[in-house]
Amino acid sequence: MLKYANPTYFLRLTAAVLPWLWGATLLTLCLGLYMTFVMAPADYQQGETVRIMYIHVPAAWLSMFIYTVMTLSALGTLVWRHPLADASQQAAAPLGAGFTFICLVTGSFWGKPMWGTWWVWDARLTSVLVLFLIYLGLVALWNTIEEPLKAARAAAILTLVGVVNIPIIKFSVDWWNTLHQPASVLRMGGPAIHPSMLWPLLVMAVGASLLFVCLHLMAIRNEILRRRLRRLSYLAAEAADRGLEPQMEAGQ
Amino acid sequence: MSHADYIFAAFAVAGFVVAIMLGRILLDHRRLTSALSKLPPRGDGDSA
Repeated sequence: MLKYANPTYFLRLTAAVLPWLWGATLLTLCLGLYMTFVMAPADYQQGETVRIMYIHVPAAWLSMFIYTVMTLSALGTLVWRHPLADASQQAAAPLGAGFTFICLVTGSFWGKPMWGTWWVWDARLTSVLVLFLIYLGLVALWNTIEEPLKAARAAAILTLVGVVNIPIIKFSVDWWNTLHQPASVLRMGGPAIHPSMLWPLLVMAVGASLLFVCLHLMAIRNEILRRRLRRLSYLAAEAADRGLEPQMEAGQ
Repeated sequence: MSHADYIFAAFAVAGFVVAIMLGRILLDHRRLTSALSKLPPRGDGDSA
């Protein structure tokens, strides 16, 4: 296991795996889009607008899944102090913000024709907005603290504090009276939607998850390269300083 | 706006955001590998 967590081995492994993962991602997303626009029927109440659900729901699931990945990475930073865990948290934060933004915007595009409004301050929408703000806060934190180890620890602590929002998002529709409908797929008693709509949704969710895995692995590779660049630049500057010392002494 | 407009807008925004995320990562990678290639490699595993 430690072998896989070695940054150099990770770079080699992901370089081999990423082309295959991208292939699987594109195939799954193409199939999902075909099922969404060609195979899935229009809803008897929502009409064609239901098709927004096939991008909105996977983005919503991913926004919470990415935060869970960041929480596990934060534990890796605080408990094992592993550099790959630091890189994983840092790489995931902007992606989490991106998918949460997609969830919020597509939800608004669905809400306007269905509810008659772009936005309501109900528990589900507000808690997802809070999640988006937490992601932005984490991105800002990483950019503010220059020392990577300090930034990783501060971000890990903030991530662990923010994880309380995840069950609030999930159960907000059960705990409070919300305009947002209750869970219809991940619920006790099984999915409440017809298989003709469930399958396209699941395929799109798999495609979106694979997309996240690809982007996350690529972003982690960048973080490893950034740390390597920082270290090599520091060593090069140190070597240059040592080379200058005798010349300065000779000049005096 | 018709229902088709809302659907198009939702998928267009999603595609645009994904393109920004991917583009940012690819540009970052290009910048990093170019900067690393200008530095001499040191020790095992430093030649990225």
